[in-house]
Amino acid sequence: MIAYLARRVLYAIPILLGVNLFTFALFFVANSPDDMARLQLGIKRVTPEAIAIWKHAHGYDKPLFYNGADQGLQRFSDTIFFEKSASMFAFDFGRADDGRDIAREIRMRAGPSLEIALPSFVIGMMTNITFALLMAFFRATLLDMWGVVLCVAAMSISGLFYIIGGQFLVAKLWHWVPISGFESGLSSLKFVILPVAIGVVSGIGGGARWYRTLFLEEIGRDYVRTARSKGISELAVLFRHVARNGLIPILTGAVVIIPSLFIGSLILESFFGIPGLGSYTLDAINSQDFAVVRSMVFIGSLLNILGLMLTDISYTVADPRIRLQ
Amino acid sequence: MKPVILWTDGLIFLLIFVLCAFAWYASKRPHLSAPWKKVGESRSGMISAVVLMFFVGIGFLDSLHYRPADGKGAWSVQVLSAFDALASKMRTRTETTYSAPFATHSFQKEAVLVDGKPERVYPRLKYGGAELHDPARDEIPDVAKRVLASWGWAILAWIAAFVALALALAKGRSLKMSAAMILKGESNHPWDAMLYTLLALFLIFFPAFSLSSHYHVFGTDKVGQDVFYLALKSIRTGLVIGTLTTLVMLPFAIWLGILAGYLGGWIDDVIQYIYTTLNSIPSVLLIVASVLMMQVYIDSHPSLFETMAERADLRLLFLCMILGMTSWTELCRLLRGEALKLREMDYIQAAQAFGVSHLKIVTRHILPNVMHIVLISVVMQFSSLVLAEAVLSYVGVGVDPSMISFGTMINAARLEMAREPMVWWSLAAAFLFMFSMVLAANLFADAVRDAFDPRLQTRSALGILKRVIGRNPQ
Amino acid sequence: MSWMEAKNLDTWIANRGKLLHVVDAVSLAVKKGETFALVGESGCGKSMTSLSILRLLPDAGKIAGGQVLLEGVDLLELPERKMRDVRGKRIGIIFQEPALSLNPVMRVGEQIGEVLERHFGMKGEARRARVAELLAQVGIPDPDLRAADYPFQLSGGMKQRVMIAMALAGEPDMLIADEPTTALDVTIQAQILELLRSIQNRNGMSILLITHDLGVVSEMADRVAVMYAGEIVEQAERDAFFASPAHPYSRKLFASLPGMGKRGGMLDVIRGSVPSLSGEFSGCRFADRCDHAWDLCRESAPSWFDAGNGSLARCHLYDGRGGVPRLAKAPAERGISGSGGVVLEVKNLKVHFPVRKGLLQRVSGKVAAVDGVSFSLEFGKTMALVGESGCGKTTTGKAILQLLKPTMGSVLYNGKDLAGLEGGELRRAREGLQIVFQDPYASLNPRMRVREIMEEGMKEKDEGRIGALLKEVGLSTDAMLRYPHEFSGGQRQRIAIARALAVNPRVLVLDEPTSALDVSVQAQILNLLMRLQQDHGLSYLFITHNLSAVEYLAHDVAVMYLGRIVEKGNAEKLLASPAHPYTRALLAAAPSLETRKVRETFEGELPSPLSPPPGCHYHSRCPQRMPVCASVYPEACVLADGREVRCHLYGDSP
Repeated sequence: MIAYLARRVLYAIPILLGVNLFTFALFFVANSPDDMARLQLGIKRVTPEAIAIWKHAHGYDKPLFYNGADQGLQRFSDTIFFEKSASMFAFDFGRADDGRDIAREIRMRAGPSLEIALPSFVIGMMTNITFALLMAFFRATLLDMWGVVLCVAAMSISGLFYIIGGQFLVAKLWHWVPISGFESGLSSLKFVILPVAIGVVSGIGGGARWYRTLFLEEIGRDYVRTARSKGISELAVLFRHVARNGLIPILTGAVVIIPSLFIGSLILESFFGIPGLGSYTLDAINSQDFAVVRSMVFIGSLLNILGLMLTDISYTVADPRIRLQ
Repeated sequence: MKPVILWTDGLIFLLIFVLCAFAWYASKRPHLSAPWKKVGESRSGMISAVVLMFFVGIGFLDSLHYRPADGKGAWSVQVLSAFDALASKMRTRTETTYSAPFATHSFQKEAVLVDGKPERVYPRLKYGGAELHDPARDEIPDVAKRVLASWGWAILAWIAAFVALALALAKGRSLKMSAAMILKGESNHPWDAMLYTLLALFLIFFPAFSLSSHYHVFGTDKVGQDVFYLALKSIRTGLVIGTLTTLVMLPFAIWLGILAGYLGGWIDDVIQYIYTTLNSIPSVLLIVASVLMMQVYIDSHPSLFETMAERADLRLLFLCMILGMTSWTELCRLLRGEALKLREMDYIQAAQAFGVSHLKIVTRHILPNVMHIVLISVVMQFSSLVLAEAVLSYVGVGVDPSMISFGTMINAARLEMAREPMVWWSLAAAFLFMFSMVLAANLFADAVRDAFDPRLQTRSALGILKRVIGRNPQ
Repeated sequence: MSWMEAKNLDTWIANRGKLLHVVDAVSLAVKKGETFALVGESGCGKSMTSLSILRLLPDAGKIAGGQVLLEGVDLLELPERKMRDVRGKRIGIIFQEPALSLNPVMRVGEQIGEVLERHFGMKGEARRARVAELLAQVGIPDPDLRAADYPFQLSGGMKQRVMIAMALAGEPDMLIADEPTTALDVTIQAQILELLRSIQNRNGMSILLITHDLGVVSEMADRVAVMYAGEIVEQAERDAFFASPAHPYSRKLFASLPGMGKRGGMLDVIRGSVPSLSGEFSGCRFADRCDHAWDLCRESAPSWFDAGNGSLARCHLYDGRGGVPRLAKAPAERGISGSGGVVLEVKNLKVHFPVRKGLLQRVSGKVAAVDGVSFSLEFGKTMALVGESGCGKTTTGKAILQLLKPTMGSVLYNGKDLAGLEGGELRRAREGLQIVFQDPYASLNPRMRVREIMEEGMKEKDEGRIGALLKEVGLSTDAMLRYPHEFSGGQRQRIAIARALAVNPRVLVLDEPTSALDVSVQAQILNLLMRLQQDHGLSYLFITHNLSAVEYLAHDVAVMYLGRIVEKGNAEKLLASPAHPYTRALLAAAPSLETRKVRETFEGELPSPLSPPPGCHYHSRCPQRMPVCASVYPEACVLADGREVRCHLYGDSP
């Protein structure tokens, strides 16, 4: 098993390399630094000199992969690819257009992001599983049918409306919490509670319905019939047998998201003025700050790959069939 | 008038052609048409299909583009559609700024000269209820009159549809019997539910269209555009995103998935590597980065596009491609797994024993046996794509700002909730249209999945059982 | 006095939009301490009867009427809470698929302990001790250790033992055994049946045995009920039933069983197939397939009549109104013959699957699925390859057709070696070689018409020839326009055979062609195979675990154990006097219709092919093992009658 996990970790390296190359190609090959400079300086009235100055100031005035003018290893290291892309492996992300250090910014903003994303994730999972188990318990009754109908309706509403509606009702109409903003420490609770609630509610429809199908699939299996043949109650069947099997794919499937919680939610954070990584990315998109976007893509992929590895590990922990083989 | 076929128009026509061709092909093959028959028997499925057809109809009209003459012997740079022509009153009669639904006066006070003195009043709208002499007194009777008149037409049209259907289903029976059969729900297909849905649609939209040339049914937005018009125009964008994206990604997903699963070996390794790599980039960020780069490209090559509509259209197509590129991996993985399973099936081993070539095995044996997975994933993906468009456009990496879509509507309206008094109608219109479209798509997708997924076939049977056996001691 | 009695039980199941009347007015009574066997072909409603008794039907099923009396109390009237006291405590049940019937993520001890806790409130140490006791009782070694295992760590036979321990945990007065051995190998089946018998002797519980296998019935039952199309058609004492079955359906079931006694003749078959349970029946359900049926049978459904010997039958033959049981016409004689000359020769064939391990996935070992198999097949003859599942017989078949690349050895077809050939060359060389698979539902592409399926191997499209082939296998020519799902299992197997015939093969590899089929259909297919062999001079490699089919069809037999052939030779001689201890045990384990024998139980289970025992692979289970067996693999030894055996008992052992 350890060999298996070690192999998974090793496999992550070429993937990460692939991600790095892909993003590099996306950012520099499809659009040359000249294009970027022209865009930043405004399409019209742009002189070659201005472009050169911009490129130099941002470190884009080097060859992409191979610098023939240099000596030895510098021929590879003194290139855009090495400085802008490969260097990210060392968590050196360079500076944003406003001159701030991206790595430092990311460290600072991960906390607030997590404060929203982690509770939304945990509470959301619990709510969805509870609703799904309820529907599975009352399967083929009116309660189940209406539960499914409500779920489908809930998942047909765009997340934007949950935010707009929630903000309007809770913050503007009822004045329960401030509309937006953030403070550090315990006082952040009043800012965090609404975005978390919205994060949970907007996920119930899709989540509960999906888990319900997973549980129903388990309920149809032979071992459930065996459990019933022992004379144990339907609740015991549901919790001791069905839930235990059904939760394996649910929990291991959810594990993949955990590392990515750091990067937060683009939309929620911007609506509620949370100074997290989500709003950082969104601001970068709006100001077309490519260095930041590139860094976030890299960080996001890194966390995602970490999540995939965690999934494998959690499978080996949760499922005896894999753990013991 | 000069017809214009934009890129997305062409692809939509292609899609419609492919669907028709498939329907014709499937109608002769019972194993292909049987699950569709089952979809046709699902009540919620057929109700949502009627609603979807309404949306598709508007989207299709909105895809027949042309450039009108500009009056000087040349073609205008403005690209219009057949739908624009039908709704020209809604399109052209713009006010100066916000106005509430059915308002006759502007939403904001303006300084006007009353008897030579400047005074801040709510001025009359240029078009909304302009014919009314005294809006406070005349508006309600006027609206009521128009609604009643259009309901008359709606019911007439519905009866015509009913009779046409009854005639089509008569098959030798009398018209009366056929109609009775439809209304009693005695046919296998829920014609009655479909007809009532149609009636509801008629009763809503006949008056809405008729009123829209005299009032702003959903008010106007900040620059005075009719919100009802915007909402209707958004439909096409949503449909295009929801369908063309999957069309773009299907070839990748199908071929790479099947090849990886069937051939195995290093081909499998390479394909798995590609999709694992793409998959590990968080999809939102991948989309954002790609769209950003596309934006740079489009912005730095302005000369490529003759009209603004063409630019917006191409950007929409690129957006579909980008969404497609990021969403093919999941289907690809599913198909790989299925092909891996099918490869070991006896009938494929038998074909190999006959010496049938790999290409033939893939096209004759594997492809037809994975199509249900493809279909389920296509219909399931439609609604999530429509929802994704709204978010992306809101973030600013969606469709071209000049293109009307649910996302751009919400984006433009997001600050209006904070106004005093509140401007709620843009959001309400976007919400209503988007919700009904996505809900219909979700319900339809459910019906399709129930019919095609072999694991889910007991549920409908359960209903029959309950109907037949009322008494049960258990 | 009946301990459990079902009266007019009526159950419906919804399936694929159709409503099936799976149990139709079934009445049966089980006495204390007896074994009551419910026999029938698949889909006749016997499992649904047992599930109805315990009210364990799937969600899509409902009991519409009747009574289930347990010592006078109607179980169907009990509230669900009271019913739960019955399940597991009064009536225990074991199911067909032990692999699916145990919770995969729960330790087996826990699963058994759950019953103890539910019905006796046992906890802690007492519970643990009782679990170990139960496991020991069902013959599981090291019960304390095994209680901590998960189901996947146990073999199929062990899982079924755990199921039995679980069913026994509540100390029920009745055990329902729903096809308890169908998923198991014949050697393991013998062990499980023996176990059930010994438990019954000890605690005197009743067993309601549900099975399709008349051999199992013969060994276990005290009384028998035969079910057909949702209703019971005959009830009798065991001896009376096996001496003279009363209902024409029961009689046909016996007649269609293959076996040594029927060698050379055609098997008696039941024509057609089981009717669908979704329709209404006006007369006798068996009338359409019955040789004795007359008008009355099609008009009114027979009620129970005394058929003598204490048997009851639902058949108009016994209502004293003129129907006379006619003797079935004797099946036409067909000589079992063959002509000399080798068509296929397999030499030292090996198929090894590498086992990869560790960080770099290096090959650390191999599974020798086929490990040096040699035999030759003559023109027009049938060679049977028999063995337990996992012994490598199917792999051998696929390797012969080059569907799996052999690791070593050669496959000579008409003198030309197929191993190592590629592409077009291989295609040409193996033209005369075809295969028929076990599962007729998996071997035909559901998306293709029968015509397209048949054209696949044919060089040119020829509708006339397809029609002729379909006729030859007993189907009508218009079958070619239909899709596989429109046919029954037996008809599909006919199509699969016709498809193989389309390329004019000389040799057919038949991979368990009848094991997915019911007895009555099996006879049809065996007859067809027999006729085709005589008409076309085909040679068959008949891969099977069904010894009675071998007795009926084969000229030669090769017995495989863990990838190697341990004994081969003339079928009649080999089956009459098996030489290898494994062959002997295999034959002894097969249940027999004639006697209720006390059999020598087979020791242990098939070892893993990943690490076969050293020396003779069989020594770990062999009752006659000698010291030498553990170290040296025996050489082939030719007996006086030409048979070849690999066993140290023969020849001059070193």
